[in-house]
Amino acid sequence: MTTANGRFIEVKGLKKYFPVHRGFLDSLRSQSKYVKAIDDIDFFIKRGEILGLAGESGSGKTTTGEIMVRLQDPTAGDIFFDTINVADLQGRQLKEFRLRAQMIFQDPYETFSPRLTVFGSIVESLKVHRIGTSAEKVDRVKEALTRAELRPAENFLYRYPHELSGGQRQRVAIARAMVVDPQFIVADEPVSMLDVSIRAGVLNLLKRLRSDFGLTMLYVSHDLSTVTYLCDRQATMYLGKIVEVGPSKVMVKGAHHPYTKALFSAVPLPNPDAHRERTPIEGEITGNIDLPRGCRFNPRCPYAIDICFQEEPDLVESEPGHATACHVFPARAD
Amino acid sequence: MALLDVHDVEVTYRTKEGPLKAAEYVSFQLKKGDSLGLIGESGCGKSTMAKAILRLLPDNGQISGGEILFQEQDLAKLSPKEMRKLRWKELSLVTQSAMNSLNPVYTVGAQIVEAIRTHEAVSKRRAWERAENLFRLVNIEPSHLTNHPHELSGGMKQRAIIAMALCLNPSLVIADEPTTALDVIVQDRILQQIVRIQKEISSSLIYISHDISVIAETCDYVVVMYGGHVMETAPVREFFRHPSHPYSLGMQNAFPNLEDVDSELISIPGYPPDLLNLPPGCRFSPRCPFADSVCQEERPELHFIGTQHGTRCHFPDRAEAFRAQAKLPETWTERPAQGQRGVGA
Repeated sequence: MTTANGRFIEVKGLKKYFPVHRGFLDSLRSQSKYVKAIDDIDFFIKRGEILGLAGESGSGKTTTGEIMVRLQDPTAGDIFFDTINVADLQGRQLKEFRLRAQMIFQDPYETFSPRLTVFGSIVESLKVHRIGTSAEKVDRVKEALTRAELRPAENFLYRYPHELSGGQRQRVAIARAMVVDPQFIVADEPVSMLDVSIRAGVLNLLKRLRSDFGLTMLYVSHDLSTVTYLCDRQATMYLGKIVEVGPSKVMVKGAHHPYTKALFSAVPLPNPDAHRERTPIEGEITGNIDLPRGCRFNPRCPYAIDICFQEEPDLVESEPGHATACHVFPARAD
Repeated sequence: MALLDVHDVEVTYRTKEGPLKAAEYVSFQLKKGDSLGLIGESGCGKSTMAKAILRLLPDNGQISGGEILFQEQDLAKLSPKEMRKLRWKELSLVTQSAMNSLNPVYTVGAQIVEAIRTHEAVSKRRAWERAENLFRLVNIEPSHLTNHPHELSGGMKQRAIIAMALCLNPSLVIADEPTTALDVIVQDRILQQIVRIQKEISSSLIYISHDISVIAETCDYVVVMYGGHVMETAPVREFFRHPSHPYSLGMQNAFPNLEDVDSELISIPGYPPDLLNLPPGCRFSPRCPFADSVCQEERPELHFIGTQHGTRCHFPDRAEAFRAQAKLPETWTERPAQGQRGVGA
C-alpha cells in the first residue's frame, strides 16, 4: 500500500546532529556544539523510483542513506515507509523493517568476512530472520545470485571473497541485499571502486532489478554522471541540506542552484572537443559546525547578494517537481 | 628525437605463484612538451609502467626486457645513484597518495626548500622565493608555505605536491591518478591547473588514469593498456573519433557521458585476465565479441593504421565494421563459454 499521493517513502524534517566534544573548558563555558550532518531535510521517493542523492564528502548524503535503513538513528524527523513511521522503530518491529530495507555499500572488499564463503555471507540474513528450511535457504541464496547475474550460481556458492574480482564481489553484495526480498535498497557509491568496463554492468543490473522486482532505490554518489544515468530524480545535498531536487533529465540540462551547476560542470567529458562552461565557485566545502549565517553556500557562491547573508533560503518549486533553495536562482536570475 | 622512447618494455614481478608479467611489449614515444594519457583498468600495467620509468619498482619487480630511452640514455640500465640524480630534477611523480607523503612535523615550505637545495646549489632565500612562485603557479596563497600539512585542505595538499613535483623544472612529470581522492569540484580545478602549468613550463606529461574523460580533456596522445599489453595508441581526437581496438570500443560504450544521457551504457562481459594465467593469444580475446580462433592462439602485433595510430588487433582493417557493430548492445551479450575467473584487483 502506498500513501495517497503515490509516495512510497516520505521523509519529513529529518535531522542528524553529532555532538562535538572539544576541550574540558569549552564544555564548562558554553552549551555543546553539534555537527549538523543532516539539518532538516524533506524528500520523498515513489514506488519503483530511483532517487539519487548527490554531493561532495561532508554533504550528509551517506548519513541520510544509513538513516533510511536505520543503520543510524535520526536526531529528529519522520520517515514514512509505506504509511508506517520507521524513524523510531525498536526491537522486533525494527527487525521486521530490516527485511524490507537493505543497503549496498561502496567497498565490496570490506563488507565480507574473509572467512565466510559467498553462501555463508548471504545465508546469514536468512538465518537471522529465521527464513526457510536448510534446503530452502540454499535455493534462495542461489536465486539471489542468479538475480545478481552471477551465473551459474553453483559456481559461486563456495568461493571466498578473495577469489572474486571487485565486480563479482559487488554483485555478491547485491545478492546479499536481494535474498530477503526487500522493497527498498540504499546503494551508497556502489560502483565508485569498480573499473569502467565493470561499472556499467552493475549500474544496468540495478536498473533491471528495479524494473523486474519493482524495487525502490536511493542511490548515493558524488558522481553526477552515474547519478544522472541511473536515477529518475536527483537531489543535491550541501552541508546537510537539500539545495535542489528535480528530474535528472531536467537537472542535467538546466540546474538552478549554483552548487548543482558547479557539480555538473566539474564532470569531465569523454570528448576532446568539448568545452565545458564551468561555474566558478570558490574554495572547498567548509565544516558544518559553525555554519555561516544565511545560506550555507554563501562563502563559495559567486552570485551571493545581501539576502543570502541574512536568510536561509527554503526549497521552492519553480516548475512541477523541480525545487531549488536559492535566493538568486531561478527567481532573480536574468 | 623523442624525449622518452619506451621500447618493448617488459616488467616481471616475482610472486609466490611464479613470475608475473605485468607489462610486455610496451612501446610508446613522447615528444618534449606533449602529454600522453595512459588508460586502463586495475591490473592493466599502467602504474607498473610509471614505476618502471622512474625505476621505483618494488623489490620483487624488475624491468626484464626492452629499453626506456630518456634524453637518449637508457633508464633501465642506470645505477640507482645515477637514477637518484635524475628523479625530481628531470623526472617527477605525482600520485594519489602523495598528499600523505608530506612530512607532518615540517612546514610545507621547508620541505619544498629542502627538495630544491638537495638538487641545486642555491641559497635558502632563493629557494624560498622559488617556492613562493610555485605556490602562486598552483593557486595557493604563498603565506601557506609556513603551514604544516595538517593545516591545509586535501585540495591544497595535492596542489602543494604538484608544486613540489615541479620545483626543479623537470622535463617529464608522471601523474598517476593524482585526483582520485579528491572531491569532484577540487578534482576538476586541479586537472585544469595541471594542464595549464604543463603548457606553461613546457614539460612533458604522462597522465595515468582509468577515466577516459579525464584523458580526453588533458592529453594529446592516448595509450590504452589491457592485461599488460598496449592495445591501442593514437592522437587523442583520433582515438575518440575512430577508436579501432574492440577493447577501446567497449570502454567507450561503457562510459557514462553527460553530453549524451539518453544512450544506454553497454558493459563488456567477463572480467579482466588473471596475470598469472594469461590467455595465449590476444589478451582481450576471451571478452571480445569479434574474436576468432586466430585471436585465441596468436598474439597480435601492434598494426599501424595511421602514422600515429596503432591497434593490437588481428583485424585492423575491420575497425570500421567493428565500430558500427559495437554500438549494438546485442554484440556484447555474454557468451556462455566464459567461466574464467578474474583477478582480485
